[in-house]
Amino acid sequence: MVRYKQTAEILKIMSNLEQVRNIGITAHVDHGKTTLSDSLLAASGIISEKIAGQALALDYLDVEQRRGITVKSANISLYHEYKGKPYVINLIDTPGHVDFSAKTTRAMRVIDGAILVVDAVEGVMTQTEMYLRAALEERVRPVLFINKVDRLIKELRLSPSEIQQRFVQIIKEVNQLIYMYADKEFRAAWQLDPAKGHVAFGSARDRWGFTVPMAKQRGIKFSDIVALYQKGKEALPELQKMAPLHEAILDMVVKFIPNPMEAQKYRIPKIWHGDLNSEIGKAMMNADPNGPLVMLVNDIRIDPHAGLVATGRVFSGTLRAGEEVWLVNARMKQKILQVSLYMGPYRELADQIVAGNIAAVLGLDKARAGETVVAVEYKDVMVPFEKLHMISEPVVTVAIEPKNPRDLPKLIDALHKLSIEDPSLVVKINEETGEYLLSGMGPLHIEIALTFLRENYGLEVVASQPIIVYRESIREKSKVFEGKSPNKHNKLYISVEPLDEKTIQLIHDGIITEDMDAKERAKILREEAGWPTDQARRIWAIDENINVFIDLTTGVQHLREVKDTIIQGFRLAMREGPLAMEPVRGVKVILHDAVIHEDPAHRGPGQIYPAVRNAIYAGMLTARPTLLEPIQKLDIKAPIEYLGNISSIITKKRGRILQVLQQGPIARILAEIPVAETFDLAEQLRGATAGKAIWGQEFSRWAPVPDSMLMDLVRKIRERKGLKPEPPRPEDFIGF
Amino acid sequence: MLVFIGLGLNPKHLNLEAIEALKTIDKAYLDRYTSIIPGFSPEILRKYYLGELVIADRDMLEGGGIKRIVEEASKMNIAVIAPGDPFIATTHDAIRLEALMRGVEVRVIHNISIYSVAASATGLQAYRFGKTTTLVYPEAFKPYSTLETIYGNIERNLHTLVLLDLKLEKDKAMTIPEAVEILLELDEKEIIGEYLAIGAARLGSSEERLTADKLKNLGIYNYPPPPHSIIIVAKPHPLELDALHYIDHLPQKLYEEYRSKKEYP
Repeated sequence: MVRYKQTAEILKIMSNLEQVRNIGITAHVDHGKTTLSDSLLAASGIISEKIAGQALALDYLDVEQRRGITVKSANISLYHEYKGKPYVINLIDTPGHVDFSAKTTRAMRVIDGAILVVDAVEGVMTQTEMYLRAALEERVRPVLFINKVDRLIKELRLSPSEIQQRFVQIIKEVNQLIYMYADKEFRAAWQLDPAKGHVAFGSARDRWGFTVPMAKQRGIKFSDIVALYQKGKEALPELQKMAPLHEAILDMVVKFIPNPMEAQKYRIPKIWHGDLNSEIGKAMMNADPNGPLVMLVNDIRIDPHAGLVATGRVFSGTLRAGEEVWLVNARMKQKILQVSLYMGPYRELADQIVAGNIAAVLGLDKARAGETVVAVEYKDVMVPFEKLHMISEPVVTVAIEPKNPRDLPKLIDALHKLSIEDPSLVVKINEETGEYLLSGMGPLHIEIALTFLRENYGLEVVASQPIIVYRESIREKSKVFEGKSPNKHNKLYISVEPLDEKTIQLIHDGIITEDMDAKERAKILREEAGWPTDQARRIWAIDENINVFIDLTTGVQHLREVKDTIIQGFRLAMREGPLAMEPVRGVKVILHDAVIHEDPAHRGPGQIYPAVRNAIYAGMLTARPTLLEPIQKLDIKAPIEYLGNISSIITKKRGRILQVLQQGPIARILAEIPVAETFDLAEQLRGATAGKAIWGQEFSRWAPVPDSMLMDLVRKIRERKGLKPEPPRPEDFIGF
Repeated sequence: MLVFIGLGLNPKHLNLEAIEALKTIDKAYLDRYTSIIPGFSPEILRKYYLGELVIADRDMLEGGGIKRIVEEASKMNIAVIAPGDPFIATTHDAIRLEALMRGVEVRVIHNISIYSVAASATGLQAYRFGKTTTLVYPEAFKPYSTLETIYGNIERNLHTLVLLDLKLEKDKAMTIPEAVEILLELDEKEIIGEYLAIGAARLGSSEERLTADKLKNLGIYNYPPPPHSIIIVAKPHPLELDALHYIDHLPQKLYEEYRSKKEYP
């Protein structure tokens, strides 16, 4: 099969959606996801004529492959002919570790089908099930590849009938899961039937595979395969010729995975929450190339030459270079500089890409993974696929350094890129120690990031034990305190009070922001969170940890000139609270009055910052201050007989069971547990369930630590930071 | 007792009253952060004072430091030694008031300040100075109020003494050329560049240098190191105009031009 193609030829195929498939490969760790991707790329990856023309073209793919290019590319396009018709198959990168995070959901949204890879020896495992569930929840249709069949033959020396039994068992388990997790309409329709060709068997490493219909057609008998393996390595080429892996897999994909046109009809109602009868809704359901442009960006990578590359799926309309588009979450207009399609793993320029396809875009450097891109005229009516949280509130921090000190510049660079590709990772430098601090949404999130640094950037790093980042907050309203500057010539009269839950939510969701239109902001705060008019109108600042500064003064001389200094003082104070120098969250700071020195030399930052801080700290310390700790949500599944063991672990760890659902012999337990208690959770859950529990975890909320633990925890954090163990008293900030 | 001693503007300004008072002092704090006295070093004080001498930074004389000093002054004789006249820059007001509130005796030994020297050195009339202002580095905020002060003085036909920012903790002091650039940048009305102005370097010291020209031209002259200040001149009285030329080195050409014309600037 000739895979050397002109981009024009591929674009032509892409314009006929019946000849396009968008898929992902999902597997439990080590079940062969990468090997299968590599094999498919080597056998069916589209090679552009440009690359084919280079001298070493043939070696090229092999070398790149050894470097694991399939891991590095956001998408790989494959070319396959089925019944004489050409197809373009986009193989989109899915997260290596699936959890119930936005990242997983996002990846599932841009694919219509998934090849589920299961190791024939190990069978269905935790991650197999989690992937399948994540896929089905987004209406992604699965097909199955049972991999590593060679191990059954060579290592376990099973007889053909024993092998067949094992296949049946795996298929049965997968079908049960499909029944359990798929929406009603698809439970039966998506059951896998090997006789129809929904399942392929083979070895990705040895590059052979077949489906039942293919075996029938070609006269492949399982005993032939066993016999060939007995001949040893030399027989592999014969096996690969008899049962080419890519044909087995890609035939299956073309036949059973729906094309984008079919898929969007039933998937849009599930993955998008806007009005299906609106112009945009209809256009997306029909993958209309003439409809309004809608693209979901699922992947952001930084190319050393091209800069920020946004890859995603066009659900409606046509993507064209030079056009201005609206980024719904970033709330801004940006210009598309380049549009590319994927030729194999590489990007090639295209004039336009039509709905239903995967495209890469340059120029949208404010886009982050999960962004919804829409034609500018629809900016006010577009409901995004997901609302990105503009505020990331890291929960766990590790200090990292490169094993080899010379790698430091490389590490800084990699961390910077990492935080753009995954905005929920926050990188900071501890200015006192010079350490690099990496913060994320949970211990697992950090672990994945470190693996990524190692695998994608070749960086070995040393990481400290993860440290929980608490938040400081208050539970009462304080009286007004006078904050004095060191020279006593500037006085600020400030009170603090807790922000209400609704406002915190509005800010967290990015509905209320610092830079939005002040009138609109006031309206939302009044109507949705019941703010008094004067406060709603006079917000000066909203910081990254969800604290608000309000100016209620009237007629204070020189206030305008020190406004920025006061705001900066507020931000600094919020970064490190009075209790334990942890970030402050959910506090409303109100400036009631002020006296400002006549001359600019005596009202600089050195005078104003302490005045702001002193009043806020004194206020907070008298307003029942507390620490908030991150709470994680757990979604555990285990055979019902382990329910007792699991609930006792959760209770012991200060957790709370929210709900228990029974699904046949399986119990599903929804629970909450403080992140501080999760470090050995995996071990304990496995131990208590003989390894049969599977679970997902995600950040849930912030909650005050129990009062009985508070002071002890405060002391511990302070000691860790080299502070004296007792927190300051209010008098320390107002007494002098 | 708490004694505030002004050092004046050069090492030789230390006056007899101060020298006498130093004999009774048990512990002295030397303020070295509010201004620079060219040629001054703590060794000079050593001739007249042998007690404990603390070189004080901002933390010692402000904030929590205030209470500590007053507390000490209730038990022994403490001196706070500061450049110029001790209370003109308002920096130490809080210490004096805290002491009085706590019944600690306070004595002030005055000295000369830039406020008087600015007039006496340049030949401009003290009666014709308006509000003084400090031009700070536009880092934390844009100091538009400095321009408002200048505009206000101009409106009332008064001179403006513009003190230039000192960030001694950072070893930084604003120079006249830097200040001219910042002022012109902030000057939204675009008027002050044409006004006559005096670049006053090291006022009151042996290296004092006075340079008069249009404000916009002050940046091109050479000056000895800071402290620097600028005086923006309102329409000069005829005697002031003579002083601008004969004392402050206003170029001949400009001098003649302003002698013969009525409009200003």
